[in-house]
Amino acid sequence: MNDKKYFDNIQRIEEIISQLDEGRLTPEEARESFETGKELLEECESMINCYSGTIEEMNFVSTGR
Amino acid sequence: MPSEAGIAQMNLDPADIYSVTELSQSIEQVLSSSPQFNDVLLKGEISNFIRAASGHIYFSLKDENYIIACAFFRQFQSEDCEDLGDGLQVAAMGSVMVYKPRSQYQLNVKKITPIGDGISSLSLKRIRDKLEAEGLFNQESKKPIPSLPNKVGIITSKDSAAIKDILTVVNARCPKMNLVMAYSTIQGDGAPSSIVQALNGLATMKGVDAIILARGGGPSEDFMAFNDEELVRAIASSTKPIITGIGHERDVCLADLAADYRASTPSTAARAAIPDILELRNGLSSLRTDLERSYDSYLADIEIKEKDAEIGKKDEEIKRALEVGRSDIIRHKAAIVVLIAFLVLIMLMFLLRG
Repeated sequence: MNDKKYFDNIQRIEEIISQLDEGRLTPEEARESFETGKELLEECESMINCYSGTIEEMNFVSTGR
Repeated sequence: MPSEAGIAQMNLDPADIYSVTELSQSIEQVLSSSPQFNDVLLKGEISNFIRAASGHIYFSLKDENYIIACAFFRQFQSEDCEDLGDGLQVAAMGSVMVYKPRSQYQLNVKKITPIGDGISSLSLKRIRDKLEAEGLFNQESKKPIPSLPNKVGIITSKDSAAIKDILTVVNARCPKMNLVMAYSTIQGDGAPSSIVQALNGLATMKGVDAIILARGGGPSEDFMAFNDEELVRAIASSTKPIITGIGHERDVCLADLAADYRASTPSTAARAAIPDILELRNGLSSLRTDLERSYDSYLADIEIKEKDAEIGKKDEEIKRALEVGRSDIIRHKAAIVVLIAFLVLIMLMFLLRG
C-alpha cells in the first residue's frame, strides 16, 4: 500500500508551490525545491503506474453442496 | 422435442400430451375449485417485502422449511398495512391462485394481521444485539480503505453477476489493478465457513491491502449467510479492511455492519476499493503544471528584482557623479574667488605704490 508515501509527496509538492508563490526563497533554494517537487511527482507517477494486471485465483467453494 | 413420428414410436397417443397452456390451466382449475385453497388462513414471517408503485404489495411468507409467494392487492389493503415489512410474523387470509405468466402459485391475500416478530427476525435481532454489545459494529474500530492498494482481494462466487459488475468497474478505473479472486460459496449452509476460509486466505496473502465481499441481488433468504455469527466475527476481526457489496441498497445484513465500509452494491464496493487511475493522473498533471508555473513566476519575479536593482545602482552612480561634479564646481568657484581677491589685492598694491 503506497497511500502514505503518495499523499505525503502530494502535500510536500503543494508546500513547495506555496513557498515558490510567496517568493521568500533564495534562487538556490527555489531551484532545489523545484527539482525536489519534480522528483516527488515522478515518484507519485511511478506509484500509480506500478500495477501489472495480475489476477490470482483461489478456490474456497464449499464441497458440501 | 419429439416429432409426430417420434411420438408414435414411443407408443404414445398424441391426444394424451398436454401443451404448456393446457397443463397450467388444469392446475389453475384444481386450485381455484378446491375449497381447501380458498379463504385459507396462513401464518408465517414476511420476507422480500416490496411495495410496488401501483400500490400493490408483494412478499413471501416463510417458516423454517418453506416459502410461499403472496400478493396483496391495493383494493384489499387497509391503513394499518403501512406497518408491514420484512421480519414481521403475520396471519394472512386469502386464496391460493396461479400467476398465469409463470404458472406459479401464490396466496392472493385479502386480509392480514401482524402477530409479532418472526422467528428468523427474532434470532437475527438477538445476534445483532449481542455483537453490537461486544462492540463489533463500532465506527471507531473501522479501518480506513486504502486509496492505492497493491492488490485487491475479491470474495464472491465464480461466474456470478457480482463478479462481472466488479470487473466492469476495474476495467473502467484501473485495468491493470492486481486482483486476487477468492471464489466462495455465497449462499446456503456451506457459505459462512467458505467465506471465512476465503477471508483467512486473503488475510495471510502478501500485498492484499483491501478485500471486497460481494454478492448480487436476490430474495432476502439468499443473504442469510451474511448474518452468520462466525462470519460477522471474522469480518470484524480482519486485519485488512473489508468492503461489503451485498445485494441492493435495501439489503442490509450483519456482515455490512461489521465491515469497514458498506457499499450498497458490488459495483459500488468496487468503486470504493479500486483507484481511479485517470483521475489520479489528471491530479498529478495539474500539480506539475502548478509547480512549473510557480517556479517560472518566481524566476520572472527575480529577474524583475534584479533589473530594478541594476537600475537603482545606475541611478546611484549618476547621483554620485553629480555630487562629485557639484563639489568640483564649488571648489572651482572658491578658487576663482581667491584668485580674484588675489588679483584685486595686487592691483591695490600697484595703485598704492603708483
